[in-house]
Amino acid sequence: MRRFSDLSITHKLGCLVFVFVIGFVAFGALSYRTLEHVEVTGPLYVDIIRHKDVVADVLPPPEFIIESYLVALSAALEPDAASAQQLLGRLRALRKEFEVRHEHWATEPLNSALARALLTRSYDPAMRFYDVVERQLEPAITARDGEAAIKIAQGPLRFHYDEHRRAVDEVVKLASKQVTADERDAIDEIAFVKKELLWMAIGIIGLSIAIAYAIARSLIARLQSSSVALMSTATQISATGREQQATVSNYSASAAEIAAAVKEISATSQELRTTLDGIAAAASRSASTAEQGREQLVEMDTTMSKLAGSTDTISSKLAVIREKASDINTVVTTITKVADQTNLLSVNAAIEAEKAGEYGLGFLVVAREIRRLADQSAVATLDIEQMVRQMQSAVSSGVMEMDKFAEEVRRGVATVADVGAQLGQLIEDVQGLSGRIETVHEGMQSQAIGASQINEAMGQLTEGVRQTAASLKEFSGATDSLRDVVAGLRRELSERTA
Amino acid sequence: MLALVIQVAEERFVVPAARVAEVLPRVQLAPVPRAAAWHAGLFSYRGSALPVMDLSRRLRDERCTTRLGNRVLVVDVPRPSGVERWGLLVEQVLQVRDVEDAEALGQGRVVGLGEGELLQVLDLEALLDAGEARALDGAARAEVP
Repeated sequence: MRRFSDLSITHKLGCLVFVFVIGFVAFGALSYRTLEHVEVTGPLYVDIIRHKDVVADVLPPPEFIIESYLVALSAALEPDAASAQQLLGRLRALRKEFEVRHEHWATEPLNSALARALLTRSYDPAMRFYDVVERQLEPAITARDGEAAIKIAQGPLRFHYDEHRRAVDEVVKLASKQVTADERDAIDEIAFVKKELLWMAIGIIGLSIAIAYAIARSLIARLQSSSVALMSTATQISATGREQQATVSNYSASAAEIAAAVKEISATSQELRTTLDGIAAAASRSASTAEQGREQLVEMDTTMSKLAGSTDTISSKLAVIREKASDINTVVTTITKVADQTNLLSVNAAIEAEKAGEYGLGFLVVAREIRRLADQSAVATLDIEQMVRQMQSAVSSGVMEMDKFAEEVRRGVATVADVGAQLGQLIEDVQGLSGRIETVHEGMQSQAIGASQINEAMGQLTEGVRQTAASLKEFSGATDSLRDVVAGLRRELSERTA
Repeated sequence: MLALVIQVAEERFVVPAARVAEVLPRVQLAPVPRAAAWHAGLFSYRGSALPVMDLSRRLRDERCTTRLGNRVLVVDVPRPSGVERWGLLVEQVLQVRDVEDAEALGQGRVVGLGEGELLQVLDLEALLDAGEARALDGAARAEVP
């Protein structure tokens, strides 16, 4: 026994159409039977009409004043006053009921002949009847005038009643004719609808079968083409999956390389950090050395300043010495002049002594001695003069040297100040450098952290890649089975259409 | 005999002390217009104007080297018209000493200084005879006593 899901799509469609046709035929038969049952002059209709007729036959019709006439007659003939009054009340109620029904029928859509007969020709005599009842019969009965009452009942009342009755008969005739015509129309229409239903059922069933066949054909054709496309798509997907597997394996190799590179970077940054520490230490050492140098320079500056002061003092002393030397020169000149005068004196003395002859001999000796002293003095003054001159030149060159030296000292002081400023700059630079090294150090630290984070991320990525590869393998298997399924579908379709 | 050894233009001469009235330091001289080149000028000596002969010019046609030791020798020269007093400008008086040959000094033109050295004795009369007529004219001559 084959199951429903094992059936081919054509068979399934055939089943669908079969079930639909069976259902539709059952529905049509039921509808036909129901129509047959409830149609005009059908059993149900006849039953309804029958019961309506029963009611109409049993109840006095409110629109027909026969009861009113009978009550009026009874009242006129009633000897007991109380009963008569009771009957009069009944009459008033009947009138009210008549008016109510008249109002009802005035709003109903009746044909014109019937309406005229019912609403005018039967109504007017009825109203006149009730007027007579009210104006003549009631006072007569109330006055206990039996005679008059009977006369009224048999006279005008009867006349009005007869007139009314004739109108009512006409109404009944008209209504019956209308009913008969309506019944005939209904029977004709139902017969027509039955025939229509039958043809419609046949047409719908035929059309359904045709459409189902067409749908099945087109569906199969489309399924065939779709299965071809699906096959190629499945092949493509499978190829793509294989490519992706290759890519993923490449990617995992790349990830391994990146991880190695990151490890190298991390190692390098570690080395760099060590080097930076060394540089920072060296920088701080050189900064302290420069600081010492600056202190020494300050000392040297002080010393140089002192030296400059000393050279100034020495220069002034030398100037004093020069002054003194020129003083000495003056003295020497004086001495020279004195010596010269002494020499002259001795020469003249000798001449005078010579002139004195014998007597001047002793004086001549004195003159000679004086002369010798004068010559010695002259020689000594010459020596002194020379010495003073040498001293003066020495002092002059000394002053010059001193001036040069002072100039050099001043230059040295300026240079020392410059060097001090440069050293200060150097110290500042080195201090700034240590700050910058700190910054670089921090940067290296964060880089190392970043490298380790990258490493971690690469590990996670590798894990992800591994999972992706596994998923791809599964995907490949899925595409293979998809291909198998599509091939089976194609085979089945080609068998069906062959 | 006592004599003065003088230096004139790199050369030494001898003047007998007996002929020198006085030795003076060099003084400011008043120049004499139109005088001979060797006439150094006049100066006031004991109330009279004394003419001065520049021996460097007179003997060697050289200008006398100016130095502190320049001396003016005041001498009396016997002339046919009487004794004339002159000043002789010399570079310096080197020595005052005894010379050897008294006779030679009196009559000859050279004297010995000992150890074979000879010096010429200045012939004052000849100095004046040879140059006086040329040296002095008109006004200058008239002022000389």
